Amino acid sequence: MNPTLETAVHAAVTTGPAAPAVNPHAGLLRWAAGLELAGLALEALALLRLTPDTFVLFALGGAPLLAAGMGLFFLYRLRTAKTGSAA
Amino acid sequence: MNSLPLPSVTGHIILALLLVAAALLVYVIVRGPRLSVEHGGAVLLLVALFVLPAIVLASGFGESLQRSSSTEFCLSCHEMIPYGQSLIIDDNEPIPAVHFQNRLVDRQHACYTCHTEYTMFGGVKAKINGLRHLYYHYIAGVPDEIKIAAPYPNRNCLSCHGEARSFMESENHDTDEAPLQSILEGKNSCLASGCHEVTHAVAEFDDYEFWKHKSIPVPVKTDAEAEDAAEDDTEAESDHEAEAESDTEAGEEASL
Repeated sequence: MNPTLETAVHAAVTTGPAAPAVNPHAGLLRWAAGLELAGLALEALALLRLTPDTFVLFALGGAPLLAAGMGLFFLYRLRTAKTGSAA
Repeated sequence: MNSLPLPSVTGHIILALLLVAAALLVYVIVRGPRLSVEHGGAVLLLVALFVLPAIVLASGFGESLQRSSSTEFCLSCHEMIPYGQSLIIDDNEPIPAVHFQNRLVDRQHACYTCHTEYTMFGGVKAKINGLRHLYYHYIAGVPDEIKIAAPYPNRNCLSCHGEARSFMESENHDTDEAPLQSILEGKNSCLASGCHEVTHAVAEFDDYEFWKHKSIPVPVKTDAEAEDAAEDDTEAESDHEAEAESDTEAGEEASL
């Protein structure tokens, strides 16, 4: 057997196939999801019990949080495209 | 403040979408960075972090805006309750009462119909005015006498009445003092000119009777007013008793 191939087979048997590298910018995804969850919570509040207070909370708090989350997601896509990482 | 519960089918659909979006976001948080390298992860991330939240945000905002235009929403602030009660004044002079009771405006959107400018950004301006109301409610304090922020524009009246035959052919709308053209151009105010000056009349509630309507409570007299009324009743009763006694005495004297 070709010694290089033999080494590769040995490595695969002993350690398993190499896991694909995790995107270094993927931490942004958790931030984006967290912000959007908070925004959705405020929106749910306004939908369930609409008062002037909950409406303003949604308009001035929930909507910007959702927008910020979406913005972070685009930032993640932008950085991923630049570095050529997966997904 | 009273709150408006979720009334419409659309509202329930938006809420269901919102729950799905929230569940997906929780999944993204739990799976975290691993999703970025999984098969189909990119599509899931796009749906969870952009498509669904964008749909829920746009539809939820539209729904909330629509519901915030309702009479019920405006009257959910206690400061506005007297203005709501002015809609059921049993008199044909106060303009809001005449419009509400005769269904000249949609009763579900009575406040919004008259207090929104019929311009491209009239609705936006009305919402910004609403923010100012919140500022007074929470920060500056509500003034004893609530006044309209700017002179009421004829344009709001004319958006309905402007082309109406009853308006155009009325002799009162084309006088030497107030020619029709000046009214149409807003130079002669419908309200401030003294022709239609009685509006919400919240300071004169004692002078009016009220029409009963299921959605608006009839004003209750304050303690001071009730005491005054009770004193008046007591005085009237004592006068009546005194008169009765004097009548009896006179009758006895006459019989003697």
